[in-house]
Amino acid sequence: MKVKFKFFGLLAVAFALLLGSQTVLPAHANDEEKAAYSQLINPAKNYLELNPGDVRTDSFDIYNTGLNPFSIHVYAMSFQTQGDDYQFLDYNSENIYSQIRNWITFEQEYYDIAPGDFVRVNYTVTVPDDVPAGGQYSAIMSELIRDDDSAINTINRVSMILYATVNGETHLDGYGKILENSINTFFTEPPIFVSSLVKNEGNVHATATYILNIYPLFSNDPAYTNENSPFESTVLPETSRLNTITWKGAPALGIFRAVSTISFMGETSTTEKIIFICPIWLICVAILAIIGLIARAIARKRSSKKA
Amino acid sequence: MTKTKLLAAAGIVAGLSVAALPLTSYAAENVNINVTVGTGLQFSVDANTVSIANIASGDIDETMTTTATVSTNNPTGYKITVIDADTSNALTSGTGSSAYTIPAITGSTLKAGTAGWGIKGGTQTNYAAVPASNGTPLTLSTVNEPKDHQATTFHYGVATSPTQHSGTYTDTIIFTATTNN
Repeated sequence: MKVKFKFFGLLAVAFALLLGSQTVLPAHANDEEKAAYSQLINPAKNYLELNPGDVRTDSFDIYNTGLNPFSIHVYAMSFQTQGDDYQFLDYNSENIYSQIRNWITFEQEYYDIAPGDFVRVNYTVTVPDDVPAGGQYSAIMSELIRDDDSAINTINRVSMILYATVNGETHLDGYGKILENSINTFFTEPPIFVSSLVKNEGNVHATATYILNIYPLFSNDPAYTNENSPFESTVLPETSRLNTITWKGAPALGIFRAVSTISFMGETSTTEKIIFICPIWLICVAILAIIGLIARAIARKRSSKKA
Repeated sequence: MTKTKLLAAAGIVAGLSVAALPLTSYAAENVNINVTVGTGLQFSVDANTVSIANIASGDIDETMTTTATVSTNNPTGYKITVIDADTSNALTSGTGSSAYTIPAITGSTLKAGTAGWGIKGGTQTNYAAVPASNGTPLTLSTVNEPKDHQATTFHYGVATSPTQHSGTYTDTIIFTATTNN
């Protein structure tokens, strides 16, 4: 009996692992959907905890998901962001948080990959003994090698973002500020959204968690909630980050109570507001109706005075 | 009577045993299934090269396109950026002292008769210069949720001057897909 259960247990684990790997790989893509040159990187982000003097080896996989064989070149660059909206990425910056690009070496920098095949890229992070504690960030690039000669040659490149923390005196809890957690009162059309701004004054990246609950005015059953799967964003050290949580399925007309909660570096902020959503044309019709009623009342009053 | 009691007792014991059997079996053979699904990012660009058959001097051409397709399970989506492969972001014909160029656009509009080239598409609604390799990449598309085979088409615009030297002008640019953090 036990042997049978163990067998089925192992079978279930094997099946689940198989299912898990299928989730990452686009196995459903048939040849018609496949591009001539397509690469998949897995994982596309990685988190490492390091100590000064550490020599750490890790890896990522590059899959050839296209129709043709290709070669890749792997290398490490910086990873920083510009602007509160994190819209601009900077792969060339040199600052205290991008030193890790100089600590990364690859077992091999060039690989050939056949269609449907993959390679495992091993890399080593050699941490100097005298580095300060805090975050270190790098974009590890996998670039397709091509040598065509046309008007505009395009190169396909994917990156794995490496978020590393060098242990020591890291500044995390108590070093964050929630600068804004605001909800508009009026919306003239869906979606309903709340916006926020957080600032990381520490020396290591931190996760901001955003929960939005929207209730009908006279009910405690949420019309929208992301409580079971809160939105999370990573905020790099010494940067501010804007964020917007959106209820895309909001109706065109209604009155709701919105509660926005942000948790960041040990701090929590909650904002609650009554919000109205009403189309502009309906507001215009309502104003015209009110004006009409007032005009009618005045006219009646005048006619009654004359009488 | 004694026989009946014995049978009843045996029945109860057997019933309880059967009822307890699955519990003891499960308790002894619990299998925890932990599956870690990594964050994957797939990226393709439809054509490695984009060309114009012929463009007259003093003319504008906006027919060249590139379609980039991304799949990712990253909860916060991805970005596509573009940057030049080297420190010169001009289209260049020839080399050295005999090199002629179509410079990267300044501003956001192509003007007939003024040489320049740029790219637009995705969230970049107007033409912009592709930054040189030592600059900050131009963000062309930001998607804030997981996507499967999300295609975005980017358009190139090239304008030549009336005295544009004949020849084949080329440049190499790098499209990069990165997961949002």
